[in-house]
Amino acid sequence: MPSPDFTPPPPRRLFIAWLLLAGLTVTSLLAGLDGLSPASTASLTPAAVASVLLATALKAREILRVYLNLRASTPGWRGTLTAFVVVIIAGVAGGQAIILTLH
Amino acid sequence: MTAPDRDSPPEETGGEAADWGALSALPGNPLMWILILSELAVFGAFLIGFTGARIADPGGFADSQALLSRVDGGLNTLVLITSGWMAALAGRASHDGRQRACRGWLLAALALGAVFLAVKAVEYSGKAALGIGLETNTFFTLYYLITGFHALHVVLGMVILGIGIWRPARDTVETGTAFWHMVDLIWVLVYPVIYLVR
Repeated sequence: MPSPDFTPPPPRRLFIAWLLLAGLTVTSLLAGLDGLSPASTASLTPAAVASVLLATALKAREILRVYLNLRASTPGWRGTLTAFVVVIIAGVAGGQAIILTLH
Repeated sequence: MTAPDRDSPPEETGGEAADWGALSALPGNPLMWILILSELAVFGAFLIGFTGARIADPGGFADSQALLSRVDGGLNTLVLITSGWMAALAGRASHDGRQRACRGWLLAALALGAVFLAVKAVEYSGKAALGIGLETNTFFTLYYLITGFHALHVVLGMVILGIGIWRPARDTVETGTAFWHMVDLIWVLVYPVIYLVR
């Protein structure tokens, strides 16, 4: 089996990744503020929480695939690392669902 | 005409590559990936534990979270992902044998790491001025534990980037930047959970 090519992504792809990460950061901040005051204690709407967590998942995926160069690795490793992130985000989303149900 | 940037060929560790089994299918030093997986597990447990504590007291956590600056946290996220971009450019420059450029990008990444820590220091001192400490309540105990532990990783990452600037062998740069991306990845997960979701 040939060894994988671990050449890092070209600068243009790295720039696109940064642009995406910056855009998703602004998106998650705006969703996290949800039109409220920056010091608001009001609960976020489920849509806002979903937007924040989706933006987080996409950011984590981009860092793993491009900056940590997992795109050059095997599907098994990409899946394993992605699963770590999915479990963390699913745990947070599940906690939010419990809070909405109980309170 | 500018001098070529290729001031010396990229250094290699030389010799036969060790067989790391499945870990050989990952880019960079396999030990770094073991660390990355371990750290993701530790911070993942922290964040899920934080969420569990929030279930018990959502109102108290929302009140405490409102004392954090969500905007400053977002700006600090932008600082760290920009630093990650610089580190990635250093990795690419190292791969291409452009050591001077590699050193420059590493220095930029390190400087932005210092900016991140400075913002964190301002944030901590602001809380201290309000009389908020580790024992104020569960939210702030977990906040200091998680963000403080992450900040320690930033400090360690800056030291490793510094070693890369000093001795920019390809393996050193690859391993150091992988650590830095892990620090970046963890913050990307920490920020929304502690600062935004409520």
